Amino acid sequence: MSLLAEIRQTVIDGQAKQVVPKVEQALAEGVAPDTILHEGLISAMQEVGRLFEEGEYFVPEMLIAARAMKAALAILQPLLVDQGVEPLGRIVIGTVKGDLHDIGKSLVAMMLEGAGFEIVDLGVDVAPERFIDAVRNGANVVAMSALLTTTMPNMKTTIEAIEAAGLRGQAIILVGGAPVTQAYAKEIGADGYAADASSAVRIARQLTGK
Amino acid sequence: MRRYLALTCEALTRSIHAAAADAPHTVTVELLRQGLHNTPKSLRAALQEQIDAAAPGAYDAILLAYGICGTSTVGLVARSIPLVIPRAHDCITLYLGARDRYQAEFDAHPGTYWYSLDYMERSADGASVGLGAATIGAMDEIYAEYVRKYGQDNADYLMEVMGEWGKHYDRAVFIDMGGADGQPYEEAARAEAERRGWRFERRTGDRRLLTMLVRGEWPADEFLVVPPGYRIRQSGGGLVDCEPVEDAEG
Repeated sequence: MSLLAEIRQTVIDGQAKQVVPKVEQALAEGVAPDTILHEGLISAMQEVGRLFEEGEYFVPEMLIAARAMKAALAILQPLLVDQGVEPLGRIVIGTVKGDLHDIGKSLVAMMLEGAGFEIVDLGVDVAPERFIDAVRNGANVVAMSALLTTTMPNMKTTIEAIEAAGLRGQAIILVGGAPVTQAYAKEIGADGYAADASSAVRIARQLTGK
Repeated sequence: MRRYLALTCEALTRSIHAAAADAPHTVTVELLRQGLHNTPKSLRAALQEQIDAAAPGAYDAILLAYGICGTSTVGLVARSIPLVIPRAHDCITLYLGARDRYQAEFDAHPGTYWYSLDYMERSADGASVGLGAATIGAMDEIYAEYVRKYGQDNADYLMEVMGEWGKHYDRAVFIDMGGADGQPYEEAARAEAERRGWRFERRTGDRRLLTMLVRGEWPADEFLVVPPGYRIRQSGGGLVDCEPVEDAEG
């Protein structure tokens, strides 16, 4: 197996500790950082998404794969910046105000990062103003999640606040979370809805034209 | 006198029976296992099965002592008997007696973990668990399985991620619904709060909504009556509404 294939497989298997020396070795052998990114990491996370959709992978497998991907990405990131490799887009992500449940959101963030997006993770309980600031600072996608029906209405409030700030045209808005549906997303004027982390990547790529 | 079938979560066992005992109507209570809301599809299927099993004309209404429960009740269809459901997010509203009261609690302290006697005494492995939590014993088992499947390094990471939610919570509330002696359970909830470093409070519950439900008092702002041939849908505010089945399918 080639070194790139090994890196890819190690990410799919979620072995964070093993992937780091392999990436270092690849760099030492002169493999370009963006080649490692695309053929090692992004390709691995696509496979992870596929395994999830096929029902072979569940949340734990996705989490450890994403963790391995992040460990490798941490090494590549400064080199990619030097190389002038542009991310697919800048996504600001967070759970809406009042919602404190971040496992799903973090998983979505990691999958998006693994697809080549730059992620600004605002964490949990994010007030509309903080999403707005991130859009002002260049985020072109806003991704919001809510686990509870109690906090779901804050997605609508946030979209209204982005509109009121005159920034609606500058960002694509994605929503998700257990109680959220396509119909609700449409009703509140979101651009996209994703049922899980894997489809979040697909929708984000589709809507950003990447 | 009317005849009602009340489909109820175990988490409300004592309260629904107390309310039904005083109701001027004939109320048949059917309990469904608590925790089904963790997979809304399962709870929805279990409820629809009970609804479908009711013989036409056997009841004047089927009462759902549930909230939207994470969309579990969305999609339920009234056959020949109307359905009635409180406009509530979940059982906390039913414990506290009013949606506004829950909303005020939620807005003030979103990071609240709720405890009740019914829920605790009916949890699979005893007292020290609140609404929706995985128990300590279960967590040990999960950890052992993760170590076996993914190695210790990854198992430690997964436990940290899965436990993250607890760090954002800062308050435990025991809801006392009156009636039976809930003291041992309140103490267990208090002990768990201490262990997790959460502030502990207690609230006196209110059977108001459950009482209204079984008495047939259903003001439109607090209850949804689903006529035959209609389906429950999610409304914009995150609560329930209904629509004719043909529209939903068309």
